[in-house]
Amino acid sequence: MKGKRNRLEAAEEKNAYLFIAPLILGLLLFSAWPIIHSVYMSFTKWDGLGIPKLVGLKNYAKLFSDSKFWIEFNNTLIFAAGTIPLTIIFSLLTAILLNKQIRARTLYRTIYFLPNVTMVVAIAIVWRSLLNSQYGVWGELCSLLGLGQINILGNTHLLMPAIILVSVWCNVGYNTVILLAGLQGIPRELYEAASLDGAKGFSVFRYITIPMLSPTLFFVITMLVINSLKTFDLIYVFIGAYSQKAQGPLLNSVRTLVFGIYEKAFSIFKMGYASTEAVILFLLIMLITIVQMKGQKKWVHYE
Amino acid sequence: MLLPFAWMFLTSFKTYAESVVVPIQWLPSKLMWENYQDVLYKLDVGTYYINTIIVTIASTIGQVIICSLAAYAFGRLQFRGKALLFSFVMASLLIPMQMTLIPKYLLCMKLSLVDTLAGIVIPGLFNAYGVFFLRQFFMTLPKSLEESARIDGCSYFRTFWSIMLPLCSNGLVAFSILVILWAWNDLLWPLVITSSNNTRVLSLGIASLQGEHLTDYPLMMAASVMATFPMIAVFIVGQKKFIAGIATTGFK
Repeated sequence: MKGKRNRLEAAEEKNAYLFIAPLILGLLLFSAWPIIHSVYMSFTKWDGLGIPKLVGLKNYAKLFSDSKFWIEFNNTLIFAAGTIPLTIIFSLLTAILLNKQIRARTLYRTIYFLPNVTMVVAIAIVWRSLLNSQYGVWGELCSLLGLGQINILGNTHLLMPAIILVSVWCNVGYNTVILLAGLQGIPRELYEAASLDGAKGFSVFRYITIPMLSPTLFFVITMLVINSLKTFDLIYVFIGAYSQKAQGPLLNSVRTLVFGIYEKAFSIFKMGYASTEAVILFLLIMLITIVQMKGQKKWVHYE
Repeated sequence: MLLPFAWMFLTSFKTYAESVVVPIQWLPSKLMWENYQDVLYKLDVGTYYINTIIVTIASTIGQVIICSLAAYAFGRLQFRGKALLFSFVMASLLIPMQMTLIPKYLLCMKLSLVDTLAGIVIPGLFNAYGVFFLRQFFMTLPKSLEESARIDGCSYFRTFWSIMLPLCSNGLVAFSILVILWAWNDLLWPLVITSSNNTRVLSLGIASLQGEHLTDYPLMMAASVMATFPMIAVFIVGQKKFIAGIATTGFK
């Protein structure tokens, strides 16, 4: 009997290994190896041809004294600092509204979700046209209000805020869906008990909704942080980088870390130097994620 | 929320002159289907379309097979090193794709995948998120099902394929929609791995059209409608399962 049991276990194990083999091999090849290779390359100088040359920490020293890198670093943080709070506020408001017994909730949810299923390239193109100061809705609005022409797309101070707002518009749907699911998981009795105790309005929100929703909020914020630090598509298309017409101060006002990595590696072919920036981005994301994980004990309530 | 979609749709039917008139003209005076014809035939968007469809189908089938096999093993089978291997899979979730861009490109160069459609698809097939997502669906199924299948002499693969997989159809649909959306809309990786016109996908094709036809709004909008519409359709058809899928697995 024992022998048979073992044979069964051995068969199960063999099958399990076969089932996971494609995934594990693929991850080793396209995920684990590239990480190791990236770190190695960050210590080399290489133009994509010939043999990479080990240069020690030179790339890191160069990166930290590279003003362009700091511009990218700042822009990435500005983008995150603008996008995350605004997305949270709008998503939470929308989720609370949808959680009330309103008609056509599914319709609203669908509409809010649409930007998430739309190609970022198309979103950027449409918004560029909407924000055009001559022929777009923005131009129309300005002339209706008698503001004259305000050229957002060509202004180094206005372009980043505009991109942040567009990205909030993109993010709200997905986050609303997640937060709505969280809200619907809060037991009704809690609200009933609170209203018996005479709590209302904001204090219900502050002392019941927020603590009960905190695990969901934590998830939403963590994902938003990671994603906004990696932002690329929207900015790339928004300034028309494909045509390489975008240069100078306007590009500098919106270029992010991932944009910098892409440009260094695939447009000026400094593979080693680009890898250095990629390693820094990775460390930044790790650091912020660890801080968030540690900080969650202070405000996230798990049942 | 809907204004950009309405704007995109309306502008795609305008003549060029109507799109740059001040004050703006909201409705096209007559439907310019020619914009769509121009986009399809004069601007190679037809090729980009076919490429995108091939990439999307291949990615979806590949990811669903690879991820569901692994998810089944991690969710239901016992084997040595399971916990360790699973944490290896989950750790890969933390790695930003952007960090692996360059080595992945070099690897594809060695495998002669650069500038091919296979090069767009293959590196993305091994999706740790998909394993995590589908494993949750497998874990909810009752154990007795497999035991009776085993007694009937079903092989492990048959049990997986004809008994367990159909029971997870909700999860599979939700996951497939996610993959379809990712594959259809992705820009960065196709941008890196392809270079010629015949391997361009829609996202890239439209970004490149933007370079030459930046101010030809009706043309750009017609191309955008064509790129957007299929995904809106996929989403609306599958939205019930999709939303339930992401809302429940999203934060567990």
